[in-house]
Amino acid sequence: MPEANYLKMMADFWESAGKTASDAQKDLFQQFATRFAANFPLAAMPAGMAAPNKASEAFSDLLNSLMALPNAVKAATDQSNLSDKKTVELLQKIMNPQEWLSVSGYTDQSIQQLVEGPKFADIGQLESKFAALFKSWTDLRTRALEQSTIRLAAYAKAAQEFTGKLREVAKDKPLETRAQLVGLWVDVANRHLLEAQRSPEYLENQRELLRASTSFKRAQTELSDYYGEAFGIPTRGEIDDLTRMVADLKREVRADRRRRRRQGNDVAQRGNAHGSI
Amino acid sequence: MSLNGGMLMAQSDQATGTAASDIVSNVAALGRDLAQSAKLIAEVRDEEVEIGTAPKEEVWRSDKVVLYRYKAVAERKLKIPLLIVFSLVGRYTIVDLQEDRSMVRNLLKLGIDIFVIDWGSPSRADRYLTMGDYINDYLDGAIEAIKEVDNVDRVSVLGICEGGTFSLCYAALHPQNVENLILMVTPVDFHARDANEPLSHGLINLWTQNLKGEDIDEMMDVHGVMSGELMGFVFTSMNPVRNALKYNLDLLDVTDDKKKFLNFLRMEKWIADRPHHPGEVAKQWVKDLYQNNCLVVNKLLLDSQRVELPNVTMPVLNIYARDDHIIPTAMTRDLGKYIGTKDYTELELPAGHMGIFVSGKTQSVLAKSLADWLFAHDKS
Repeated sequence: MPEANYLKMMADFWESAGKTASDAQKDLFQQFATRFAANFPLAAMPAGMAAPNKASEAFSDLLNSLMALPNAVKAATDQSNLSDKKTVELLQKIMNPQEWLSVSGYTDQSIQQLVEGPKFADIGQLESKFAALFKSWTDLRTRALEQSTIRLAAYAKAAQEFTGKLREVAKDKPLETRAQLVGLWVDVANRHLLEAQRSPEYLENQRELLRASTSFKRAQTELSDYYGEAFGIPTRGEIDDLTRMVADLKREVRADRRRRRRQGNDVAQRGNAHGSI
Repeated sequence: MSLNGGMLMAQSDQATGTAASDIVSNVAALGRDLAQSAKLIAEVRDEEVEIGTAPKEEVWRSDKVVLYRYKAVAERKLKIPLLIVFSLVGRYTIVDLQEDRSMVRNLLKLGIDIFVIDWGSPSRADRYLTMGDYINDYLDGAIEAIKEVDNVDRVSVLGICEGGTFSLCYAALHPQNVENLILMVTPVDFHARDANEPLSHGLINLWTQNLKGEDIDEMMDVHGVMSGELMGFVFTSMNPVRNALKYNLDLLDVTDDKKKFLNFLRMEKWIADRPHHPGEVAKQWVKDLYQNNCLVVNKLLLDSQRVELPNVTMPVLNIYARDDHIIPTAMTRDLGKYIGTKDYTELELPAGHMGIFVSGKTQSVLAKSLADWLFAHDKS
């Protein structure tokens, strides 16, 4: 691989997990809603459809207001004589709100899983199960956006404090190393994130997000079980029943082995006792 | 919430306008570092990144659980062997991460005979395994096997993190089998907190206690396991920004030296291999311990047997890490007041939860302190 590609690969680390999450997911939601509405009667539409839109709007507002930061960094670095464009890019990426949201991709992974999951357009007779799945997905999406908004707000506060601290540092003594610069950002941002993650707002969202994720998984399982029944494939519940039977059986076998081993030990000890008489 | 991006930008201009050239020129070497690290990544093959390489042989297995015995490298100094019991959350290989960062190798050099349990990789097929199965069955089976192959009546048990809690329960239920009990970074009092602990400490306690018992039941019913990925996400969230920069900046600090780079990759390899928790174990772990703190009030039931900590009457050494954000010291420090032994020792080391095993600072102290304590309690 040429050296230039290595450089690109490293710089792109910053972008790999968090590329335009909000836009992509917003489009996804729109496509999903459109296809759903086109194929199912309105009566089957689940309640609470407005919730993800509202959460999505709050999230988008906040994200858009913060998207000015990378440009601010670029403007500042353009004033310097720095010829190393990669370094400038890296600094911009540190201050990119989209990157902050890619710290942990867990929530987005579950959405991605849904996208790559069952297609909705061709199955007319399963309205209720799909509606349940769709409802649980919209709940999950809403909670995930709420959490992203909480985290983004914490990053926003951190960015404000960070820029203020940079100004203070500039007055006294410039930062001498890259580690100092990064260390300053980590201290400030970690503190704000941890405070946010301890807040009642976050804790409530975390609880609801977990419940939504569980409901979504259950709705998925119920749908796959429907097909399982129809095509003679074992359902999740049947496999779990078998798993429990095997676990119970193995537990009995292990207990029996222990009993036999102890009996053997007892016999051996009695033998030793006789031997010592 | 919506912030004024323009205002923020203006502040940033002001802030960096003065200092920008200083700061940015100070990070100008970054591009070269990036190139160097990228080259190393391209050069190093996964098979070069070996962990847990101290020679050992299998001596017993039951289902997915395997008991190994490490090969001796020095004359045996203690009659009673030592069994290492690691957590289900990660792999036991952290105790032998690499040759120069290995508690196991350091103990072997001091003449201690060591066994280790590998819990394997539980899947949804193991969802109905309970803590009782792990403690009264697998752990007990391993100890009986050691007694048989080594011709001893008892074994010294070294439990780590969740494995420490399992070992403590085992020692309370089967005290006749345990010569000495050593616990490392082990949670005991799941509700204990220090008033002035850092923000990053005790988050697992906060988050698990934020849930209801039925949330956990439902989650395990649906998923069957507490996934390793979820646990990884929880650990990452406990230090979110620091962890986010790991591959971008920490990596750059080790690229001037292939040895350091391989050390970094070995730790990564260990972190990436995070097993699932069987669903029933996870339910007991979160509900009975994190939420209801049953162990310290002697209300924990395993296979209908009550775990009574006063039954722990053998000598106990409790080692904990000062900067442990996963098991803050308050959760483990006061074990002495709950157990029955009069021979109780605590040792605090300057490290984090897993740093205690791999940190350069603890390499010389940990194994020696542990071995000295075992030699002092040798009755042969």
